[in-house]
Amino acid sequence: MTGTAAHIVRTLLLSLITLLGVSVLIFLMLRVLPGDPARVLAGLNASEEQVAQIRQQLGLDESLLSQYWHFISGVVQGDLGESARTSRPASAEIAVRLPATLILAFVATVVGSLVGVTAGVLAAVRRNTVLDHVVSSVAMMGVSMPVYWLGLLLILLFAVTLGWLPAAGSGQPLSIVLPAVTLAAFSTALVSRMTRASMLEVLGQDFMRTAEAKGAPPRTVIIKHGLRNAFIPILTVISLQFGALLGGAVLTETVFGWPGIGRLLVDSIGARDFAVVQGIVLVYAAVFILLNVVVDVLYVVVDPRIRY
Amino acid sequence: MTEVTETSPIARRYALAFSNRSVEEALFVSSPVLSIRGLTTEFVTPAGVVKAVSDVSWDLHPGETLGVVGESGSGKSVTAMSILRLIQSPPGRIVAGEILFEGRDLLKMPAKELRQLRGSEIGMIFQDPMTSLNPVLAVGQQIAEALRLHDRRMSRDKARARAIELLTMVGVPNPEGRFDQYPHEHSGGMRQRAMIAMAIANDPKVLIADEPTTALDVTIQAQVLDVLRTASERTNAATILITHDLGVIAEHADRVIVMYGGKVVEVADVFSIFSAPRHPYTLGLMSSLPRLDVDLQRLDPIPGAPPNPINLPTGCSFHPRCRVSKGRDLCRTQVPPLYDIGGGQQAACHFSEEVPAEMAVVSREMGARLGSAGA
Repeated sequence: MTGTAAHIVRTLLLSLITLLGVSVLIFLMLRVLPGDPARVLAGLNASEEQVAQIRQQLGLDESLLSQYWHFISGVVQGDLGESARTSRPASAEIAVRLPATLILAFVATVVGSLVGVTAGVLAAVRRNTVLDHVVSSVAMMGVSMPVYWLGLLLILLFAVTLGWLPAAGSGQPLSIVLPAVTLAAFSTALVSRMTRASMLEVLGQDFMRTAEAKGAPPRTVIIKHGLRNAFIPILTVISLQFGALLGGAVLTETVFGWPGIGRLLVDSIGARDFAVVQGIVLVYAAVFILLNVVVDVLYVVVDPRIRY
Repeated sequence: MTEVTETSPIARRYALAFSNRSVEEALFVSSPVLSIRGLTTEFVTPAGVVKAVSDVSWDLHPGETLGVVGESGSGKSVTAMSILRLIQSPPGRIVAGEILFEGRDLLKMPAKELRQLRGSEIGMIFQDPMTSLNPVLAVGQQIAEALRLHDRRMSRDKARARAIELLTMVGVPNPEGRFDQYPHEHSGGMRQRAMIAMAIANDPKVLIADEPTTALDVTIQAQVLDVLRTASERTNAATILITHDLGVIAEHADRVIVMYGGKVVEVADVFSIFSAPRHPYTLGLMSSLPRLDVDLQRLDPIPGAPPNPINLPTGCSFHPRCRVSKGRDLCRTQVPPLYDIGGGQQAACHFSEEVPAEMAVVSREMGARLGSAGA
């Protein structure tokens, strides 16, 4: 495990370079995009002087290099700058919204993993049966159904027609059900496909036969001996999905009025709110990197052959 | 050369000779622990149905080591897998036969009952210890699992202690340390020792070793076979030793089943197999075997290739390669049954009485007398 600890430290140090790169990219991208934040803020009827004044306030009249220096030296001190729209610190704006998105992505990942792995294992064990075909078809639908469409259908059925669940917002504990299910649909499908493929590969292995020859019941053979061996690629897909869910939550959050970071990002891009957009992208990058470190550690736990 | 210990088949043979009982009597006084009757196992492939094993019958007696020998595709491994119903289905299926263990038919038994026998009454060792152990579980845990599966009340600590005991028994050095290591941290020989420990964990009555040394270094093979012999003696298990290596048969088996094209072609005690084979295929195996104990001018391999299992030759499936058949119609048209030769020997050949004469011819050609010395 010492090798693993060293690997984590090394990864985290290297990730600083990655974050720096991300900060440069997002900074430049925002500046290259058409649209002037000062003009957006000033409104349609503002005079040129007012726009210039706002531009000066925001520091947008400085050179790109000094703007970047301003930004990055703030980041190092934990200051992401000020939101152009609300004049509150961008970090505060993000901090308010981040937990809602993390919870949504987490719940969706858990649901997607549990359902996906179960369905995938069943499909593999009963391959080429009706069950397998049903799982495959449902998975295909899950992958191809647009999130907003599925979300609207679910709202129509469970909130409007049946009235079982709240349609939008985050006020009640049950509010998370519909957005989480909507968000989980895609990853459930993906995880089940991956689980099926990976399990099929393992099911024919010699050690599965050994386990059977020992007198182990099918459940033990399939889960203890099979799934554990099939889990590395499944784990990879799940972790990638968690990352994708964070970003992909934008549409779901919009459909369900979920007060998360995805909607904040879209709104901020529209308003050319540079500080908030840069902050959110950096947070995403950091979450992705941490996620990768966690998965690296999980690999070692799942498969003792993996050493760093 | 062969070290003659008390347990070698040669010594047992002598013991039998002096006990005033025929080999047949000595082996058949006890009822068989395992009987295979008319076993037929098929595989459905895109190219057609492969009859991997067809109408195979034999008995395994308590305490004996039964060698099953034959080339790749002869059906010896499929027979072994069929015993514990480990044939993957699809594509495989056992279409006929009985496998009686202590009078109960394993093929008709409910799955749950069969599971109670697997790994406890009947232990199995597989060919490739590299792939037969679970790579993500510690070796010791896999042995402990075999114990706890059949004794639910056994504590983890007790299972661990017993597994370490078993590892010691099969000659794994530093068994406490080895217990927690994973298969990839063990050498091939150590892994096969662990497999043997797993198979004998519950003192089985029958031990099936399916080519236990084929995947191992030559230098390790002898060691592992000795471990296997010691293990089967300690547990007093009747052992089925499947191999394509006649040297292994000579040294470890009491009785031998020779298989060809999914059928049993000859059954005999190990002495008769080497000194007086009665099936041309067995003779062919002998004459193609390099030997150190006699001075051979040349080897006499079996001509042709193993038969296509989807489309076996008509009649006796060995006839296209047979030096005794000489193109006789009977061989091409009639499947020979297993004829009783006497002395517990059986051969599936229409002209088995001609084999001894043919053996003399082969011996002359090879410049040595087959069936003498060694074996």
